[in-house]
Amino acid sequence: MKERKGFDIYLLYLIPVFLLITVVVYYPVLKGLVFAFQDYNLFNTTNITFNGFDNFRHIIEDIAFPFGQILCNTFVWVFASLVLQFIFGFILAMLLKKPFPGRGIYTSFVFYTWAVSGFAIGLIWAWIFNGQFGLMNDILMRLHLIDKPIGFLSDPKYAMKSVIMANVWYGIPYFGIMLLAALQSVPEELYEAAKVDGANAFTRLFSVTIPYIRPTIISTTLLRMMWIMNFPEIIYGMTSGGPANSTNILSSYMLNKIYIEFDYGQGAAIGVMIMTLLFTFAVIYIGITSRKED
Amino acid sequence: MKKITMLFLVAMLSVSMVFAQGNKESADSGVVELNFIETLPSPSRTALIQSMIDEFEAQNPDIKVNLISPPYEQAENKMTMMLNAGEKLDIVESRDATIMQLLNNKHVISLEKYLADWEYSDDFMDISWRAARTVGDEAYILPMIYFAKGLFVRTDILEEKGIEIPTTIEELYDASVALTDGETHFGYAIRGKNKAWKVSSDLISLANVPNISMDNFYLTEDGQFSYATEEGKAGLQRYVDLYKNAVAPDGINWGFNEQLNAFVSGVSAFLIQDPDSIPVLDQQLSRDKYTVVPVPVGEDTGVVYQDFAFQGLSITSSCEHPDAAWKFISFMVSPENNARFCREYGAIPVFNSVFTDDEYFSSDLFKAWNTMFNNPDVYKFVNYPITSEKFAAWEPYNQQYMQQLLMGNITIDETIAKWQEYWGY
Amino acid sequence: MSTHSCRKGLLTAGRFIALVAFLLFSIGPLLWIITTSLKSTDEIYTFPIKYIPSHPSFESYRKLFSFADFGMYITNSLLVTVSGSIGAVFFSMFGGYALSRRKSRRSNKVLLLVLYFTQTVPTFILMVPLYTMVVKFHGTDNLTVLSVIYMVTVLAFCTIMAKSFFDRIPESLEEAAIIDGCTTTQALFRVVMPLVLPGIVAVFSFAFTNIWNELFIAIMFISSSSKMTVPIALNSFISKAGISWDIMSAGLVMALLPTMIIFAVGQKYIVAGLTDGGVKG
Repeated sequence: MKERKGFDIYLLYLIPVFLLITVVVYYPVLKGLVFAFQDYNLFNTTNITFNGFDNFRHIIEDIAFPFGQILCNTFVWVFASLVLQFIFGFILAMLLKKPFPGRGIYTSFVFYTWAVSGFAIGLIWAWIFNGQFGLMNDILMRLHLIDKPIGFLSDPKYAMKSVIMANVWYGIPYFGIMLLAALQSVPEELYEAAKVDGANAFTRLFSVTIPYIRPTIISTTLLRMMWIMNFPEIIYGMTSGGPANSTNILSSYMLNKIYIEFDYGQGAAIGVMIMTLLFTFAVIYIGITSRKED
Repeated sequence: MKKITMLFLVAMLSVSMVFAQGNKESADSGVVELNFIETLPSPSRTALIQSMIDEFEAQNPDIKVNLISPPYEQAENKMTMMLNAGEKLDIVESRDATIMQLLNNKHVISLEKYLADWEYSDDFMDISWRAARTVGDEAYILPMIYFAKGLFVRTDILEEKGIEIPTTIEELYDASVALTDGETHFGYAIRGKNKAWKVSSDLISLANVPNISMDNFYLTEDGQFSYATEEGKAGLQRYVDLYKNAVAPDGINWGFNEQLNAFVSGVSAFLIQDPDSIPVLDQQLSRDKYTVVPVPVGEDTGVVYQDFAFQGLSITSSCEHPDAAWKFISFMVSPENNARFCREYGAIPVFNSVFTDDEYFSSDLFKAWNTMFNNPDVYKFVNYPITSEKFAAWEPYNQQYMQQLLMGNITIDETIAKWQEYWGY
Repeated sequence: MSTHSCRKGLLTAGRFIALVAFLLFSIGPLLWIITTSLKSTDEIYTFPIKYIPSHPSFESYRKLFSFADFGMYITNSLLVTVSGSIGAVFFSMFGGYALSRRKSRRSNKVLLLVLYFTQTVPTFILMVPLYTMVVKFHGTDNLTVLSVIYMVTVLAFCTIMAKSFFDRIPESLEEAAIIDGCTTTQALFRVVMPLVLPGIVAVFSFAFTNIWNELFIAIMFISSSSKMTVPIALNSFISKAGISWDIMSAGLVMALLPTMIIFAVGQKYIVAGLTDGGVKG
């Protein structure tokens, strides 16, 4: 009797969440996906027709913006950002684990970057990385580390690294907070036991800490990956995908299609590609990582 | 438990506050409400337009104008989406690049009916009529201002180095090279991204092509692709040389902000920009340090072509009170208000009388634009192919190959071939 | 013994250096923005770079609040953000609790995937249809509607997080309460909620930060200048002719304050909260 009553109330609890998400996310998304198969260009919207996979074909075949390069940039952007954010976030979390005087204020000044909006990050870092009057060059020159300014955003060799650095700056706190919390949930006895077994700090990290916080690592990296993939603001503000396509990723390419070319059909087609890639990856990732858990 | 009750109280309170704030629609009968969206806003420009609206409302108590000012980079997108979704919008700020799209989608109405007995018809400059009737052979836009490029010059730097102000592209090139030391000074503040072609690269590259069509920057009068001509190729080569010899290597990634930074900080002494840069520069640089002169001309042709860039107001087809809307836009575009708007915002007026009666537009910095507008044989304002459906996508396409070219990945010929292929000329 | 303490000292020094390095990296850009906000306009673009303003003044801040009416935008943003994130926390607590306690594991997995999927959607795919829909209901230019939309955009993430908090609270607690005569809802409020209060704060601060910074939806759905939010206002300092760095930098500093306060206050709860709940996939 109780079981049944409980089940009903749970369903009731779930209704608002899924109702709201259906109305505000799923319904518009389904309508938006239709654009991907239409010649929807704001230049003339009086006669929009279905054009099958033309939008996809155009994007894949456009030699001015080589699709392979954009895809490759996207993977570099997502994985380099993710891995660096994760590693530095992890180190920061380890550093913050034990209390020290002023830890509260310290965390506030290390974590604030998470609260800077995407377009502002683009503006600020474009200035810092400017190849002529940028701060980074000025500081490096004053320290005599370089003797000629580096074109951080104008040299394809550095452009992707520079935008990734800005993204890492922004994203460290996310992992910092999450992993810090997870680390504090690792029972002290486990460390003691490992110490008794003669494990050094390094092996303790891999044999105790990481396995224990594994669920946190899995869900935070998956969510973060999705967000990085859908986060064109930094690139858009710093390089607009240039120079010569070298920092163009799928989401900045989509932004270009929508805001510059007004081509909603092709923009939506890129959106469909992003969602497909992410969802496929998510299913594989969850599949691989959950096997061990159950 | 107490804490949770508190939390819910706070939640309910704040939600109800939002509600209370949300619905304050005034539906006074008898007052016509017009929604007006501006698409080239800046903080000071928005304030200026708002003060003009206040004046208009004081004169016309039965009309209320609601100004919508989305941020510059998203403004046109928002305007189009509002129109497409059927959101109430009566007056839109349209311009050369958007008027075709507005007409295609039947979002704007013809203004000929009103222009037939407009009191300022005679005063309206010839090119203003040309701008008004750019598309569809009817006036769908009432031009309000022109943007025309001037050459901004750091006079203090030139004086120090003993260099004359350039009047031809060749002189500009030489002066820029002379000012470049390769480390801290680079003569020319280039535009490398975000509409570089519209701002300056076409202007510099194509000045020596003798016969560019007034209707299409990219076509000569005998139907050739402008860049595919002998002079076009040479011009593009010189643009590449300018980048290599007189521009900071980083310039390939410069937008308006970096250009301005280079000019203000004295890294570069030359800048090609619109007059709306003047109020911005005046905040950061005193006038004894810079001036504006007409853009340099091609040394062989003696002429220079530039974008015929105008901006104006249109009435939407969904507007329920077009007469009231016309009243407002003809108020905004009256010689008196036009002069005020252009002076404070930094733009070129559309009436003859403003140039002749208002000292401001023939003196000081504006002398440059006055000269250009009074010498149409030398300073040619040509249309971009704005009626083409390919126009919008030209920006990323041009940038892509221009950056490749400047980086030395592809040759001049390859670049031109790519561009020609794009336009199909 | 001495080598041990020496190693320990080395470790402490290493930790100190690493902490300083992290601080320098994160705080550098902030310092530059603060310096810029204290400069007069003619000092903003200089070469060589000036790191310290020669006549520091709060002129930019004064301009920000008089000329741009920034106080009103902060109020609007606070209203939208607070109500949106409280709403998201409210619904996600119920949803997360139900997902955590329901017996049907397979349908739970499907529901979780439904939530995860929303995170793959680019905002721009959603924008046009959502906007068209809201226009039909005459809901544009309305802060209430905006805050509801914001609430839903963070709802999925909040629910995923909330579920993981509840997962770590033993079910036996509510069962005991139910035996004592509580209904399920009463048990949730009286017994479970107090235990996850830190979790609530954690979810809240993430929702707060995300909503506080949202730009594109706000631009689309808000038209009147009296209803603008902080990100729109900041973005409107960029014009065709340049960026008004004086008010922009002052605005950026002001925009950071609320979220920094939330982090500073919530930080202890966040750490404690996630410790209690953990984030479990």
